[in-house]
Amino acid sequence: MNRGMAMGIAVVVLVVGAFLFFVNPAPVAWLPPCWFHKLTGLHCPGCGTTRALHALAHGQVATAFGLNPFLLVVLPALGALLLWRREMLRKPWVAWTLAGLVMTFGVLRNVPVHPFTMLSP
Amino acid sequence: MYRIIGGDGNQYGPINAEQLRQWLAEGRVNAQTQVQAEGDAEWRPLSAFPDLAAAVIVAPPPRSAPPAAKVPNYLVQAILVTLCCCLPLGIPAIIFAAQVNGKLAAGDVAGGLESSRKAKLWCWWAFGLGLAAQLAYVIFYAVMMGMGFWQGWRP
Repeated sequence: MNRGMAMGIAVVVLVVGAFLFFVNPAPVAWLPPCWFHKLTGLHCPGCGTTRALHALAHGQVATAFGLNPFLLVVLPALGALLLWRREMLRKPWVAWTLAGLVMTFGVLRNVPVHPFTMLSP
Repeated sequence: MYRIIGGDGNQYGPINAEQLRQWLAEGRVNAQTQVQAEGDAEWRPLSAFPDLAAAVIVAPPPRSAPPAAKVPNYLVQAILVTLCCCLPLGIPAIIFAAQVNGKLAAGDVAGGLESSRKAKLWCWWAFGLGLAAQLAYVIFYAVMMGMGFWQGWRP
């Protein structure tokens, strides 16, 4: 990753972070909704991301985890791999594991039975 | 007169141009063979000698496929784009991204490239349509508000 790209990512993270610190997405109507959720009523693997990031910006890790546990577990892992073990992302089993995790999470959080309902936002 | 380094790594020669063309015709040397002209300290590939290279009969070098390590798999992009609420388009992106390195590992460079291309394509579609939908919503909302229709209207 070159310097310009790192700077760009830092700026985006800061701007989005600041935005989500001041704006709570839950009661706000003008933030765009998840179209997939609006059209199908189902939760996608990304549902709850905005609210989770808002909670994170306020240091509420548990709340964020409740909204989207996948985000809190997989994204840091992905970031760490990207920074220090980039070659791991080129291993077929790592790629398929990640793909499987995203899809399994997406399916399980829509199962309306107790242990799985905890996964929905 | 020329000296050459053969496929076995040993030096041969000095030989004259006629002989070298003969070897070329026999396949003992090729365009990539290192050749040193007499009185010249430098070793260069045979193709760098215009008078000799003319004798290289239409034998193009094997089409070099990009090395496997250079084929991007777009896995991270695919996952990020899926998490940004574009699920239906993000899923194929992730599947194609996951295929890339397996195919490369199996020696299927063409297949790996193809999966890489498709993963990139789906990523961009997911990203573009997702962004367009979100922007459309914000603009729609702003317009509704501007028209004073916002009272009692919840998304």
